Amino acid sequence: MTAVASPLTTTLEVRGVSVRFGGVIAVADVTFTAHTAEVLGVMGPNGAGKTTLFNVISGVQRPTSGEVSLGGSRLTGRGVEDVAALGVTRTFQTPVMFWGLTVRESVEVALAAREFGGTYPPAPWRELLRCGFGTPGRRRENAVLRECADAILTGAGIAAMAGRATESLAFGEERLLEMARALAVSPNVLLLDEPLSALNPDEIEAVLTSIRSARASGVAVLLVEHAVGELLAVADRVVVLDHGRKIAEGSPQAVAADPLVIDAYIGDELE
Amino acid sequence: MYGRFGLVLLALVAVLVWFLPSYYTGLLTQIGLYALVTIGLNMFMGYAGQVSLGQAAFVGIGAYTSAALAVKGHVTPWLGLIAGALVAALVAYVLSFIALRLRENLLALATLALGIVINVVFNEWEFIGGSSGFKDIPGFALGAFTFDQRAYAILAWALVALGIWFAGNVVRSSFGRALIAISAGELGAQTLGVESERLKRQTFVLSAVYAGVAGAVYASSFSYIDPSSFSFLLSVNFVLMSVIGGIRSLWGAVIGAAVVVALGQVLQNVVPLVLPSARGDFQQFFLGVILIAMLILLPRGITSRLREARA
Ligand SMILES: Nc1ncnc2c1ncn2[C@@H]1O[C@H](COP(=O)(O)OP(=O)(O)O)[C@@H](O)[C@H]1O
Ligand SMILES: [Mg+2]
Repeated sequence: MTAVASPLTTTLEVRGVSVRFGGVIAVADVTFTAHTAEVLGVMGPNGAGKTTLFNVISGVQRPTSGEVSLGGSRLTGRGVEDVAALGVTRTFQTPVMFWGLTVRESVEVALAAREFGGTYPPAPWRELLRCGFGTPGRRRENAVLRECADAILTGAGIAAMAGRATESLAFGEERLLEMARALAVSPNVLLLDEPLSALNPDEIEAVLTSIRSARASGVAVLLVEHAVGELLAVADRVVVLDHGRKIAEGSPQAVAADPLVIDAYIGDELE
Repeated sequence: MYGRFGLVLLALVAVLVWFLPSYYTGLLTQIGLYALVTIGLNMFMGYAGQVSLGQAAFVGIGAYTSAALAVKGHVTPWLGLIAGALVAALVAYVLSFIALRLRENLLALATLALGIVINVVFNEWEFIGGSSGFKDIPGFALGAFTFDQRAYAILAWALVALGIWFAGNVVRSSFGRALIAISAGELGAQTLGVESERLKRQTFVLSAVYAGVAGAVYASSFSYIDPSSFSFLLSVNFVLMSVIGGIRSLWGAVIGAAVVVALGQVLQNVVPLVLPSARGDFQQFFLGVILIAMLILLPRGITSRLREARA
């Protein structure tokens, strides 16, 4: 790693975001920023609003009020694909697999979007015709995609899975693939929703390695994780939510010692 | 591989037509045209994971466009075929802006409504013959040679070969992989930048092109069309062919078309023996029963069982 200290650059800004589902306020007036090349931990007991917050950032859920922007341009109001094209991608609490594709092909789906400037298919129709007629240009691109996919799978430590059908993966393998897929689009912001849950120690190590190397390459990683020990160990800063509100923000040490945070977690266990 | 498969079938048909009685040659043409429609439908249903209960409307649009141009404007059916495909594509394109926003079961309803509306248009629009349709539609010709039954069978299967080659390339390309991704996990694919609505739209339009081409050939080969040729029941039959062959299979489209046409023939001959008072509707009833049985016994189609047997 080069030791050049780069100044903190704000990339993602969440300003006054609230989400209301009928009578439930899932996210209440949450404001924070994320910087390039950092891991921002997002903590909070079950039902605190973490997933809902990720849904808002990734364009899945419209906030009731507030807005999210990336490098100054507004994300709120855009569709999921457009948010992705601007460099924000995510994984899901329950991995989403592309059944019918192999592991390598799943990664190729992500790479194709990146290849065409963020979204796939690109400009209407031409791509369909190129694929249908199997033009030599398209075939060369396919070969390149395949090589890139293999490189990404190797980087994620799952090269051995490349040819397997996604239907055959175990839960932990699904998580690793979903992570590799998300990294394949070269995101600026990566939202990881409980990426360590139900993983074995080797898999946890693989995910943590991927997170660190994403950070090293400048990605802002937002990490929701119930394994508090791992989260505090890998995060540079932490935001804590409880009942939709942000109750703390700061370094992992400061947050871990914060009485409000301890209360929220203990209160949760007593409930 | 699909390309070679298509050529083998084409060669087979080109030989068979010299030995088959003309009635069976006509059936071969019908199977080919249905297979073409079903290949398109399978891309939309099997790969993109959508539903269409309105493919007959696109077949009808292709048929009527080509027939109207030929009868009213003396335009050669070769151009009519291209025009039919384009008009079907245009209608699908416009409809897609409404329909593809809808959830799956609503999309089924929207395409069903399209089929009904288009049929009303065929019935009511006097310029295109109203309820009596078009008669004496000019046939295809190459130079001085006007197409006969054999030539239509060969044309239909040449189009199947072309259609399955193109579709085979699509489904094994980035485009096809993106289709499979959205059908399995739409949101997951979207968060990677996959434009699911655009993908579905283009696939829907492509399926309409396949149907429109089949319709144009149908019109000239039968030389007669009326609105009842493109009813809702035909759309249901396409879904039946698709499901019987296996919706995520291009070979399945051909098998499904052949099985449904063959079953129709069998029912036509057997039902009157068992139920002398039964009319044409009973065939549809039995096809429906067979569909339900298929869904229970072979939910992923005949080709899925073949694949399992090979594996
Ligand atoms: N789609 C929804 N409709 C209604 N309520 C929801 C919906 N999604 C989440 N909630 C509610 O919002 C709150 C926050 O949920 P969530 O964001 O999933 O929390 P977390 O991920 O922190 O466990 C919970 O009370 C949950 O029941
Ligand atoms: Mg959650």
